[in-house]
Amino acid sequence: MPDIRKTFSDIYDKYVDKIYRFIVLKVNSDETAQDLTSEVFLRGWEALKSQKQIDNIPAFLYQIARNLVVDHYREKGQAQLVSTEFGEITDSKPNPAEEAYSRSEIDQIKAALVNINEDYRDVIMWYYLDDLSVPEIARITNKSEGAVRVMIHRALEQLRQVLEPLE
Amino acid sequence: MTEAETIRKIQALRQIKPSKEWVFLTKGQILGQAAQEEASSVHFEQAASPEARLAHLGRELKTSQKLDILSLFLFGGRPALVAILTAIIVVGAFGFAQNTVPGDFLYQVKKIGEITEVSLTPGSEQAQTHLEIANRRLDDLGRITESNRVKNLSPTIEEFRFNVLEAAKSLNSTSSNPESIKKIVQETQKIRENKLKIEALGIVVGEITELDNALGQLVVRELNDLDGRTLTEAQQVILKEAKDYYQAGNYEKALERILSLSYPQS
Repeated sequence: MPDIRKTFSDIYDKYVDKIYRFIVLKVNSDETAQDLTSEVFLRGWEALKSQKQIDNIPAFLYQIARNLVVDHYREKGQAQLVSTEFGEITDSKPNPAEEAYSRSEIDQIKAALVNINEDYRDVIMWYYLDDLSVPEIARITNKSEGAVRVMIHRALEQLRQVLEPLE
Repeated sequence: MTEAETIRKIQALRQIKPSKEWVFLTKGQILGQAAQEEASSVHFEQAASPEARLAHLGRELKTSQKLDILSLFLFGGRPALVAILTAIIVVGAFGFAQNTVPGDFLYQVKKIGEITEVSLTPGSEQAQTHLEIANRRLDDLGRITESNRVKNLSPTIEEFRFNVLEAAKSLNSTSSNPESIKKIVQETQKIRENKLKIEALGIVVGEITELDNALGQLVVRELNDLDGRTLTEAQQVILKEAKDYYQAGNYEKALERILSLSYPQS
């Protein structure tokens, strides 16, 4: 059992920030993101304990996260919005001006993400933020690798077009 | 805007992270459930018994000069009322303090009790008292994790390490009395088990190398004493097992084998 705890601990340390960020960019409260992220890892722990065969850890975690967000909004009956007032900005800038610029840039990109297709938003986060590979994204989305590559390209283009007027 | 600039903006979102406190505590909560499910049959020591608390109260009353003077001023020198109210205040403070952990306001009251406990213990038994207190700190760490009191973690770990160090220092004056050695083995095994459980929650309390080294020296002392005695063949076999355990670094097992030898009291 201690080995499973160590395995879980390593998985948790590696993915908790990414799963939290993925969820918090989809829900509109830090508290909700924390609750859902906890639930993701609790289910991951249950799967480990039951010795369930998991071929790809990140794909498994992101699938749970995605489903939990969908369930959350289904219960709330709300459209998915990206809040601009959540999460900690942990990048320590040496002065307030740079910190303000950083916050402004983050707000800008978050606002832009709201205005693109939700599937495109997900692949952008997975590919450019969380460094998931095309095969991993294909597994999460249940699409072919070719389809995922096309999506990534179209997602980036759509986001670029949304961002341009904001510059 | 170029593709590269768009990607750079996306990657600025990497600055969004959860709070470190929440990350730490959530892992502890998830793994804490696992630790509870696998709880061993070892009985964790509770706080001091009511008898011990009253004994401590007696010592507190004798030494609490300031409180007596204050009471005299407030109650016009009515000895009986002063004594009763002093007792109520001290017992109340001590009672409340029993559930405190290092870092809490009333913890110092509890610490006075434990310092008194150590000072009243004979030198030959102080190692086991320090080990008991170290185990209480490990219990406290479990409670701290369950209740998310992050600020109490560091002082509690310090208190744990302090008592482990004091136990290590006191081990060389430990009596060869089998009961004393048995108690030390039990408390040390409990420390190792509790330490594993706490570390499974993600809390690092550090190694207990000083304790291991001191235990090793205790084993050597006992083995040297036994080498000078006349032993039966069966006892010699047990002595060899103890030496093998010592060589393997398993000092508790070595001491258990030594304890199982019956030899004349010196």
